[in-house]
Amino acid sequence: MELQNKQTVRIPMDDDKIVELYWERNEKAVEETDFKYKKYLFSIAYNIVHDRLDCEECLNDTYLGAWNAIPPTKPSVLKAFLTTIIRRIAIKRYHSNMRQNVIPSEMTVSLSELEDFVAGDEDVGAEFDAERLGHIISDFVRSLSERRQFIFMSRYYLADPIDTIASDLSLSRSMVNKELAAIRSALKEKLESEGYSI
Amino acid sequence: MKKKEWNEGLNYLDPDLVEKYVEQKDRLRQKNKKPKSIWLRFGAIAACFAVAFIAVAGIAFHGYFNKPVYLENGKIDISSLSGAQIVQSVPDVSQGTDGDIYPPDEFVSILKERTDLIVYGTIQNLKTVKVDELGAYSWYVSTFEIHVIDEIRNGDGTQTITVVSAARYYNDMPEYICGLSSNFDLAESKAGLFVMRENTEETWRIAGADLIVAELGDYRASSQFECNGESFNYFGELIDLDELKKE
Repeated sequence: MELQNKQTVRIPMDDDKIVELYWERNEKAVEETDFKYKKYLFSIAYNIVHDRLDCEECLNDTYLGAWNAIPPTKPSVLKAFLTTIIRRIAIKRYHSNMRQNVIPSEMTVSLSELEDFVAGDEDVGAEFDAERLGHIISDFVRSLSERRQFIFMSRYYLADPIDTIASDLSLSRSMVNKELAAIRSALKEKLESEGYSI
Repeated sequence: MKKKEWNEGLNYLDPDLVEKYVEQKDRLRQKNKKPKSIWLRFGAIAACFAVAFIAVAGIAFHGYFNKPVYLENGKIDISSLSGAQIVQSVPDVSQGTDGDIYPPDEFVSILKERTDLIVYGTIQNLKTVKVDELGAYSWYVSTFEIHVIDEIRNGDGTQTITVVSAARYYNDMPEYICGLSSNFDLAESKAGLFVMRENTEETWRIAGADLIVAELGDYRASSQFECNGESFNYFGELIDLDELKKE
């Protein structure tokens, strides 16, 4: 006699299999992505835009972005690929919302920490070369120790709260703050040497 | 540079850096999810039995301190812990390790990668108490101060460091050791090398109650070694402290 109300536990699919679904243009790919990564992606968006409705929209745009990009892209690390997409989308939403009012998110706080050399909410200038800046920042991150790389990425790429970073690394808040201060000082020097006006 | 320009620049961060970061974060989160040591699991089981016993016997616990007594350094005196008996020595215990033994060079590399505070100093104001739990468990908890003679790694200039260290025993056999080695001479005049971790929100479950470790010491000993002032002895090989200081 079969058991009634048998409960099954759903296990997230392997990333390789999810990417395969995208390649096969099987819509189950989005469903599996949502099941596996929704919470993670939502937390990235929330650190930036600090609004649940906006986060839901960012999530949906991310899934659409992934659907449109795969193929031809075949990401080697799906989680990282989704991270870059949602960050890009959330940042765009953040700056758009900031025109109306200040957003009390971790992104706002983390940007304020960089006010020595990053300030002003105006739009990007016509001459600005984002790709060049991206390479400079990448070189800078690579020059850091492993721990500082992690701290930089957590705080300034994904706007993780300091307590979260401290918990991830089993450090105190004060230690994380010390590391951030050292990172900012080195970053300022690097940007100045590359000709960015401070 | 404008904020929007900064964020646009970050959109062009090399993908391999993002991949590395995401994988590292996953590893750290997995590692932090695992029980930090076996005793936490035993502690939880012991606590469940302790709670059940209380419910049946109708005994009320009044918190883990009878009436907290504060020391000059701002920390709570361990002897005011409920059921604490002051003792002069800890039964013979060995260093807590994960079972691996490393060659000295590798050991130094490992210490260099870690974020532990490493100092050379003398012990002052050592106090040890024993607390018996229900069943066959007992704890030895020590608090002491280290007067820093030399910072080796990750120090911030603090001259006096408050430390707490604990060992849990089951039927007089050590189960979990947090740093005190029976081989180390705790005489206050003798200097040693100390490796410690900062206490944040960690709690220890002693006698069925959660003890906030930071109220006893700013650091907990993660390991500690014999030292003669210029080097330390690791499995028969002398290691220069200056090597540890180097980045």
